[in-house]
Amino acid sequence: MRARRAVAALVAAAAVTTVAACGSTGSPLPSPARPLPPAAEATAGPLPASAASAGPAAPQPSQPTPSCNERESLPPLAALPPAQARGSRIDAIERYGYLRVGITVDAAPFGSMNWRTMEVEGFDVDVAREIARALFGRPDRVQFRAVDTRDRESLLDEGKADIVVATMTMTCERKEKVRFSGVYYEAGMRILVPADAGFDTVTDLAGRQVCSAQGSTSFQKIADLVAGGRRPIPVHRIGAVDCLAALQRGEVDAVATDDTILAGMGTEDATLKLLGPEAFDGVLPPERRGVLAEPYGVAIARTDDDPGLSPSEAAANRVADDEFVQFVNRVLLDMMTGPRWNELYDRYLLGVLGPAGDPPARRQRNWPDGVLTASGGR
Amino acid sequence: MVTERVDATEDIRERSAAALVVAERLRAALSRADATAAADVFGWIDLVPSQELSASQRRENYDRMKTDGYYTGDHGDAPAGGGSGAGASAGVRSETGAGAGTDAPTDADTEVDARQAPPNDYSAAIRAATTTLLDLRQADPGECRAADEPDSTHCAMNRLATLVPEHVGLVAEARANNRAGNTVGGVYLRLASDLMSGTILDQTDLLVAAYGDRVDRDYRRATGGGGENLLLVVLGSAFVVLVGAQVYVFRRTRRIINLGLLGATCVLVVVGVGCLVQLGAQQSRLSDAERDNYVPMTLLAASRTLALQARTYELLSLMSLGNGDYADAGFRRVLDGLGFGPDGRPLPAAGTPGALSAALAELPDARESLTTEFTEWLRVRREVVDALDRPPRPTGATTPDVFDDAIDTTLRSEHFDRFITQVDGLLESRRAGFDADLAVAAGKVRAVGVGIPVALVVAAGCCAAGIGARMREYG
Repeated sequence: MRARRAVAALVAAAAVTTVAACGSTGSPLPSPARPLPPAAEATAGPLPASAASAGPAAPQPSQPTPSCNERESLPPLAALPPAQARGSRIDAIERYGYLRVGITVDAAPFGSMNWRTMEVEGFDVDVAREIARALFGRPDRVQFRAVDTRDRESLLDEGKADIVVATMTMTCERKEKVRFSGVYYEAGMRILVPADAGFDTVTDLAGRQVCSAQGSTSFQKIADLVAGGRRPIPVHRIGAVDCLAALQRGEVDAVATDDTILAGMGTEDATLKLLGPEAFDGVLPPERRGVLAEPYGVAIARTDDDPGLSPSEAAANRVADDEFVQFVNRVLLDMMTGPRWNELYDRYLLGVLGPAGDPPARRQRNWPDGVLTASGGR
Repeated sequence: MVTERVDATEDIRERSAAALVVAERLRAALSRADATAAADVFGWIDLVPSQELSASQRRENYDRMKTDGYYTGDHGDAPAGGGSGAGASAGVRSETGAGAGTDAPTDADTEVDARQAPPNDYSAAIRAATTTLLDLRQADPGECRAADEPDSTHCAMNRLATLVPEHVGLVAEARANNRAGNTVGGVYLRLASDLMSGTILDQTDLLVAAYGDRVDRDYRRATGGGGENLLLVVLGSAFVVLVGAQVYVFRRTRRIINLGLLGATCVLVVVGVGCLVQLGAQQSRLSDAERDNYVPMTLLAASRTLALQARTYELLSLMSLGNGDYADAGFRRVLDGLGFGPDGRPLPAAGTPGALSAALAELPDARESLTTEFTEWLRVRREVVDALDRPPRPTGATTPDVFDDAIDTTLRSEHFDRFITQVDGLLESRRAGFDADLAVAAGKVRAVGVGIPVALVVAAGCCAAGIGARMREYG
C-alpha cells in the first residue's frame, strides 16, 4: 500500500514538472521594432502627377475684360516717403527687421540657389533686394523662403511672406487673392524639346506629354492650344525643374513654361532646344500670340480679406495694402527708368536671352495702367 | 525530439536571427546611404567655407575633404574610414569589409587596404549595403518565385538588387549636376531620396518583418512542450515497466529489493529529472536571451534606422530653404516612430511606444548617455529651425548669414554621430550576448540528447543483471 502511494506520488510529481515545462516560448518582433506603417497620402513625397490630374487648379490665362486688365496696378508714389511715414504695412515690416520674400530656387536665371556661395541669386532675387534697400537702406535685409509655383498664393495668404517675387504671372484670377505690383518683366510661354528629335512646332507634339509646373498658367495654355483629339497631353510636376528632370529621363517629351526659365534650363543641358514663337504658327496666328504673354508682377499679401475684420478694419488694411503696392511700384519704376533694370538684365539674362528689349515701363505709356503701346508686349 | 529542439535552437542562431541581424544591418546601411547623399549638396561649403582662411588652412581643408564625401575618385592615399565634415556628419560610419553578424566597425575594418577603401562616405554606405545583401543571400538562400510568392524574402532581395543601382545612378546624376551648378541636381537628389524612402526601404521592412516572424517560429519550435511530453512518456513508461518487473520478481522470489532493478529505477529517475531540468533550463535560457538581448537588439536596430532616416529628412529640409513641408512631415513621422517629440521629450505613453523609448526602457544603464546625445541633437536642430523661421535681428552693420550658420551648425554638430556610435556599440554587444545565450541553450539540449540514450542503456543493463540473477537463482 505504501509502495503504491509512493509510486503514485512520484508519477504525479513528474507530471506536474512536465506540465509546468510544457508551454512553448515565442519571440515575436517587438511592436516598436516593426517597420512604421506607410505614411498617409497627405504626407507622402512630391510624386510625379498623372496627366489626368491637374492638381491645384491652374489659373486660367487672362483675357483683358472691361473690368480686369491683368497688367494693371496702382500708380506709384510720387517719391519714396521717409521712414515712419510709409503706412502701417511698411511699418510692420520695418519693425520685423527683414523683408520676407517668397522666391523660386529652381528657376535660374530668375531665382536659384548657388550651393557654392550659399546664396540665392537671380533677377527676381535682386528685385527683392532693391525693395529691401528702399525699405531699410540695405539690400541684405531680406529673409528668403523657397516656394513652389503652386504654393505662391497660399504663402502670402498664410502670412509667411510679405511679397513673392517668383516669376509670378499676373492674372485676373490671381488678383482676387493677392495684390500685384506693375509688370516688372514681360515673359512669354515657350516650349523646350529634345534637340534633333523632330519636334519643331506645337503640332509635332500632338499626343505627346508636355510638362508644366503644377499651378502654372502654362499648364492650362497647353491644354487649350489645340482642339480635337490630337492635342498635346498636359502633365505636371511640382516645379519647372522637376519637368526638366522628367524630360531628361524620357518621362515627358517637352516642357512648357516661361521662356526665361526654359532658357535657363537650356544652359544646363545642351541636348535640348527652345522653340521660338514661330512654333505656334500652326495653332496661334500672330495676332493671337498675346495669349502666350506671361507678365511678371510682385505679388503682395492682402490684409483686408480676413473674415474676422470689421468693415472699418478691412478698409484701413486696404489702404495700407495700397500704400505698400504704390511703394513697390515706385521702386520698380525707378529701376526701369534708371540703369538698374538693365544692369540686372545684363547680369542674369543677357547671356541666356540675348539683348534686352524695352523694360515694361516703356511698353506702357502710363505704367502701370496695363495699357500696352502699339509695340508693347512680346 | 532532441534533434528537433537542437536544430530549432541552432536555426535561431544561424538562420532566422542571423538573417534578421543582417537585414537590420542592410536597412541601416541603406538609410546611411540616403543620409550621405542628402548631405552631398552641402559638400561644397567644406571646400569653400565662407569664413576667411589662409592658403595653408585651405590646403588642409582640401586634404580633409579628400577623405570625406565630396570627391568620388580613387584617392588611395587617403586614410580608410569616414572623416569629418558633411559626409560623416550625416552619421555615416564606414563599414568596409564588415562581415556577417557584425554591426560596429572593428579595428580590422579600419585597417583595410587603402586601395580597397571606398572614396567617400556614400560609396562606403552603398558598398556596405551591397555586401550585406550578399551576406543575406547566404543566410537565406533560395529562389524567388514571383508568381506564387511575390512578397517572399528572396523576391525582396531580387528587387533590392535592382533598385540599389538605380539609387546610385540618381545620386550620381545629382552630384554631376550640383557640381556644374545646375538647379536640376536638387531634383535628382529628391528623386533618389523618394526612391529610398518609398520603395527600397519598404523592401528591407518586408525582410525585417519576415525574419522576425521566423525567429518567433523557431523559438516556438525550440521550446515546444512536445519534447517534455515525449520525455515524460518514454521515461514514465520505462519507470512503469521497471516497477512492474520489481513486482513480478517479488512475487516469484519473495524478495523485496532487487539491486539491479532498483539501480535501473534510480538511474531513470535521476536522468529523467535531470533531462527535464535541462530542457527547462534551455527554455529559461532562451527566454532570458529574448528578454535581455533579442528585444533590446531589435529595438536598437529599429532606432538606428529611424534615426538615420530622420537625419536624411533634416538635411533635405535644410536644403529646401523653408519649403520643406514634405521633409518636415517625414521628420516628425520618424520621430514619432522613435517615441520622441521635436523638443526632445518622450511622447506620452499611449498605444505602441516608440522604438527608442522602448529600447531605453530595456537598457537602463545606457539610458542617460543615449538620451543626452539624442536630445542634444534635437536641441541643435530646433535652434536651426527657429533661426531659419525667425532670423535674429541684425545688430550693427552686419546682417547674420542665417542660412550659412544653419548649415554649419547642422553639419558640425557631433551629437548625432555620437548617438549612432553608441547605438552601434550597444547593438553589437546585445547581438553577441544573444549569440552566446543561444549557444548555451543548444548545449543544454545536446546534453539531454546524450543523457537519455546512456540512461536507457545503463538501466537496461541493470535490469538484465538484476532479473537474470534471480532467474538463475530460482531457475
